[in-house]
Amino acid sequence: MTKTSGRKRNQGILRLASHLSVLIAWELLSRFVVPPQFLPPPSAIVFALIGTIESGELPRQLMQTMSVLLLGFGLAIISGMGLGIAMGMFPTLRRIFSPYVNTFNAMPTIALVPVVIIWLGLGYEAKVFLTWIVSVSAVVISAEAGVTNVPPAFIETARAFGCNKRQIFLRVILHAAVPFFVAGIRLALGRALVGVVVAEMFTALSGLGYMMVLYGNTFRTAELFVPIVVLAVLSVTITKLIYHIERKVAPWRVTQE
Amino acid sequence: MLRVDKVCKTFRSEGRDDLEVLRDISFEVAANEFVSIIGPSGCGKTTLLRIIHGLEPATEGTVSVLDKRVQGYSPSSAIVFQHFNLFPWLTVTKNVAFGLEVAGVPAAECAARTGHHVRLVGLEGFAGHYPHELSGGMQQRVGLARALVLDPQVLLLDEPFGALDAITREQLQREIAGLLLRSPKTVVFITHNMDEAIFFSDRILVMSSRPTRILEEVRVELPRPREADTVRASGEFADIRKRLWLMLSRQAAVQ
Repeated sequence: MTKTSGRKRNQGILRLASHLSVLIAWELLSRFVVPPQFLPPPSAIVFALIGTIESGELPRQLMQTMSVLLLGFGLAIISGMGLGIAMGMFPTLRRIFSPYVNTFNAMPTIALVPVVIIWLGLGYEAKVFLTWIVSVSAVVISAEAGVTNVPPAFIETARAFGCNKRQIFLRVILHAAVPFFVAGIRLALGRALVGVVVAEMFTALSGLGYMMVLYGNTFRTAELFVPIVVLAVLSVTITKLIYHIERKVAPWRVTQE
Repeated sequence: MLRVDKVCKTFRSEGRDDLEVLRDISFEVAANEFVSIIGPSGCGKTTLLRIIHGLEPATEGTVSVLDKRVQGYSPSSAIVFQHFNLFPWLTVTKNVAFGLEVAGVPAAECAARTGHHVRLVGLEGFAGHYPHELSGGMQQRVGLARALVLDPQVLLLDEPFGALDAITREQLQREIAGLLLRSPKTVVFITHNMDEAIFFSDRILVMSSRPTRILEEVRVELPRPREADTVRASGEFADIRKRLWLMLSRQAAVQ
C-alpha cells in the first residue's frame, strides 16, 4: 500500500519536474534565441490568456465554439449510434449503407467545406453540419462493429435463459457493445474538434477559429497561442469526461483493464 | 421425467455434405435420477443437450419432459455451461437473476429467490461483484445458481468442471453432490471424464463417435452419499472404469 503510494508520488514529482523543465527551456529559448513573433514565451501566453479573459473575448468565443461542437458532436453521436446499431442488426441496411459510410470515413471530409458553404451558407448551420459530417462515420462504424462482434456465446446463453429477440437486443447486445460504442465516440470527438475549428476558419469567422485567424494574420503570436492551448485543454477534458462516463456506465469493463 | 425418443440430427448446409451428428438416440431419465452422457469429443453431446433444451430442433424424433413435448426454448430445463458464460456487465446477483427477470418474475420474488441461491452456492459475500473479480470456481458457482434459481425440472450440465483446475474441480464436485443430496434434481450431465461420470451417476450412457449412437448403458450402484476417496478405492469403481475405458478407447481407435 505505502509502496504503491510512494511510487505514485515519485512519479508525480517526476512528471512535474519534466513539465517545469520544458517550460523553463521554452521560456529561455523564446527570450534569448528565437524572436517572440515566432514563438512567444509561456509567460507572454499566460498574460495574453489573462488579457483575453478580462476583455471577455475568450469566454465569448469559447462559448461559440462549444455551442457548435456540442450540437454537431451530439448529433453525430445520436444519429451515428442509431444508424450503426441498425446496420449491425439488419444485414440489408448494412449492405445499403456500408459503402457510403466507409467512403465518408476514409476521405478527408474537410474537402466538403466549399460544398457545405454553397448548400448552407456561412452561418451557424454550416458549422454544425461540418462538425457532424466529419465525425459521424466514426460513430456509425464503431457502433455497427460493436453489434456485429458480440461473442456468440453471449447470444447462445441469452437464448438458453429464455430471451426472445427483443430481450437479446436489450439485455445482451446493447451491453456487450458498450466498449465499441465508447471507442467510436472517443474517435469521433477528435474529428469533431478538427471540424469545428476548420469550419470557424473557413465560414463566417467565429469562435476559437476566429481568434486563430485574427491573431495569426496580425502576428500577435502570444494571443494566437491562447486558443490553441484552450483547444488542447478542451479536448483532454472531454476525453477524460468520456472516460468517467464509461466508468459509470460500464464499470465491468474499465476495471478489467 | 425426461424422454428422448428416436432423436436424429443431421446438419444440412448448401454446398457441403450433410453432417449426420446423432442417430436414433432414445433414453429416459427418471425423476431425480442423475444420468451422465460420456463419449469422445466432437461426438455431438452438446448438440443433444441443445435439442433437449429446445434450442436446436431435432431432424427426427421427439423430446418430452413430463409427457409434454419440447418445441422451441423449454423453460422446463436450465443449463450450466463449461465456460460459465456469465455476462461480464452484470453483478453476481444480476447474473443469477437473469433468467427470472427475462421470464418477468415479480421483483420481490425475484430478489428473494436470487438471494437464496446466491447463499446456496456460498457467494453471499460477493453478491455485488462482477464476474472478472471472481475465480473460475466461483464463476461456475454463479453459473450453477443461475440455473438452479429457475427451479427447472431437468438440470443440464455441459461439462461444468471442464474449465476448472483439479482442486477447484473436486471442491465444487463435492458441493454439488451435497446439494443434490439435500434437494434432489433430475440431471443430465455431459462429460468426457470417466471418474466424474462414475462419482455422480445413477446411470452412464456411453456414446459412439459420429454419427453418434448410444453404445451402452452402465448402471452405477454405489451407495450414496459418496465420498470421492472411498468411491475411487472401491472395486466397483475400478470395474466400471475399466468397462468405460474399453468402450471409449475402442471408439477413439475407430476415429
